[in-house]
Amino acid sequence: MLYSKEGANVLGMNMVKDEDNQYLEALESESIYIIREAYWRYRQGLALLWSIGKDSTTLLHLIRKAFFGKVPFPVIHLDTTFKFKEIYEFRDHFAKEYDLNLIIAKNDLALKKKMSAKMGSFECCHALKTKALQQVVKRYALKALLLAIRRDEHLIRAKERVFSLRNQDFKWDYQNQSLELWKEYSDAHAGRSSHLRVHPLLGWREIDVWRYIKKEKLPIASLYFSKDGRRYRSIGCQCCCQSIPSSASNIDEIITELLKTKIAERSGRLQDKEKVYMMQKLRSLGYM
Amino acid sequence: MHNYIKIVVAGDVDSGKSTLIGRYLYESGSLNQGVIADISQVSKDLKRDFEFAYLLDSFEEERMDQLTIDTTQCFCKGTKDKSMVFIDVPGHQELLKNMLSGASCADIAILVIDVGKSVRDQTKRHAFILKFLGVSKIIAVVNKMDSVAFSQKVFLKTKKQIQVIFKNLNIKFSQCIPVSAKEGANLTHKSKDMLWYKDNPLGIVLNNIEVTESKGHFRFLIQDILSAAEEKVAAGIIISGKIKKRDKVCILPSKKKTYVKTIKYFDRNLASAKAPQSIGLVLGDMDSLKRGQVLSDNHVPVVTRTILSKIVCIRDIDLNEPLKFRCSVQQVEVRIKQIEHVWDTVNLFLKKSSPKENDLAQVVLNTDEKVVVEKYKGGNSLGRFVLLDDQEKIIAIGIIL
Repeated sequence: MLYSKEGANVLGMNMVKDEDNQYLEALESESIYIIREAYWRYRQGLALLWSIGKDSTTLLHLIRKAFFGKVPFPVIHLDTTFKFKEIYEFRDHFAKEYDLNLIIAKNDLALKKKMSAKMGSFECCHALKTKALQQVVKRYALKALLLAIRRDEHLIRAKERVFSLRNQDFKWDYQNQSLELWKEYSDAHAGRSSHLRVHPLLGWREIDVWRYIKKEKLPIASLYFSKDGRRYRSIGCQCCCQSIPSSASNIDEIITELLKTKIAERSGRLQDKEKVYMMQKLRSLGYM
Repeated sequence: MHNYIKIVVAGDVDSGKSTLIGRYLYESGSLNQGVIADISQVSKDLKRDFEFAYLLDSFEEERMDQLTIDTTQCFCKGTKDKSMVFIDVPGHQELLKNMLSGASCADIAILVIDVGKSVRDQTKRHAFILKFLGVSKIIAVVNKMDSVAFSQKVFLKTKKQIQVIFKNLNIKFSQCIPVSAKEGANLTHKSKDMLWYKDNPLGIVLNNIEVTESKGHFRFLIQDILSAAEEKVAAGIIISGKIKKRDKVCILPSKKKTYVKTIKYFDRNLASAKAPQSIGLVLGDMDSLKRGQVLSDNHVPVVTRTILSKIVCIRDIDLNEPLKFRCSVQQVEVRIKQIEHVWDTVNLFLKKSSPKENDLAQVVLNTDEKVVVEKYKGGNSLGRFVLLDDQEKIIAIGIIL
């Protein structure tokens, strides 16, 4: 088995406490509510963006819960071709096990022109992720996408709404976001926009995701667990993401590490770091 | 009970809300090294001292102009087992909708007042909005005490003004804390510059707050009719109360009675479920079930087409304008039948005009179809609603009287 089943058999120091459980159940319920709202409004026009990382794999599980075990819409993997081997294997294994309608989206033209991070990480992220996403949204006439971004990942993502429109040019009009309150998610002007981004995990923290993975015994890529003193805390393309020094080799140890660490979750992700506002610029153009 | 609380930080533009949250995050050890390094660099590039507000104001435009444009939420470490979420909102009058977006999900609020500026209109408006939204507790924080040499006299003068506002709005006046967000005074630690202040600093006050969840009768919102193993299921969320197999339930608005046959959750069945779970229900009678219906126990909420309510307007509204009434999963056509009173949201003075942007109005609504509602008690989903225009844009938020 390539992926870890840690959650399935580890009973260790970080037993999930009762109040933690209640908190996780409340987060889960709210996320399922959001997922069902999106499905009710968009039906055939809805899809999940699955990066095969811990967050979107958690979101995939929540979708299966929302629809009593099924995933009633396509699941998209934006394939830059630079992902880890294990990620591809994990993807193919669970696409089959969960009977997913998997769409693998690549920007073939850019890849033919040898696009890679060597041509600049902004250019590469924009071409192989944002552009590839634009193409798949158009090809399948998608109207709404479920994404697993969280507020605590990045200061720019902290500004997001649960229902967040991308305009006809695919852009995020972040200076003019809609009013969002209570359970009244608004998709005003959806008809005139490119698509709606729906963020069911926006209010989750990194540690909530790990506690939930433990509680639900979710399978997760083994890249997250320490090997030879290092592990990946956030997984992107092999070329643009660095592992961190860590001895956390199971979920309990990751939770313990997170309670102590002063290092940012995405510190190993190049696209967040290269220049100030790079994330804002990428996101305003339609990046995740 | 949940082990974290959501705290909105409201107040006038430039009262130091973002700085207060940023400094608090820093003092409480909630920040990672990367973010501190980033903010140092940006502050240096803009030739400014380390700017705590940039932790919240992450847009380039916000940092250039030193003005919060949109709401942000940040997690903060609490003492004991508690975590906190700070919600920053813009103070600017034109950005009221962004303030509402942030404030609507808060359990409690901090109202920040600049000690050097006395209490101005926008402070009053924010206090009113917090009360309107049913935020259960409002803590007053008098900021920029360093600018008045930590003077107790100036603080007491401001405190008095706040007491008057709270009294006018019928808000319970509890804590009023003198702080200097810039210098970190009276945030997580008691300030040595204000020994005359005998009460707790902000951190102790926040960490001692308990948010209790309201108990209520069984209410289930039907979001969708889905299928699970070839069987029709009403998918939705329990917003209050609990349910078990064989329990009798009432389908609203039709008031048809039936019972719970199966409770579905993921790939299994449950014997019982409670708020706030998202589940699926198979009822004894599945005919004519659809999205927008509400299930209740025998304490049935109000089923009506005429609603007396108070609304805060996001834009000017006309009598008889065709609108939509949305209350969680329910959405129907609605018209404002009667405008009983209009007030401004600053001094709550009665106005003669029709409701304009930022006004409060008491109105009678007439819905096309029956809706299921309750009197607003703060936090109950069936007691609050939004009005939408034909573009589905929210033009007013309301509570049911």
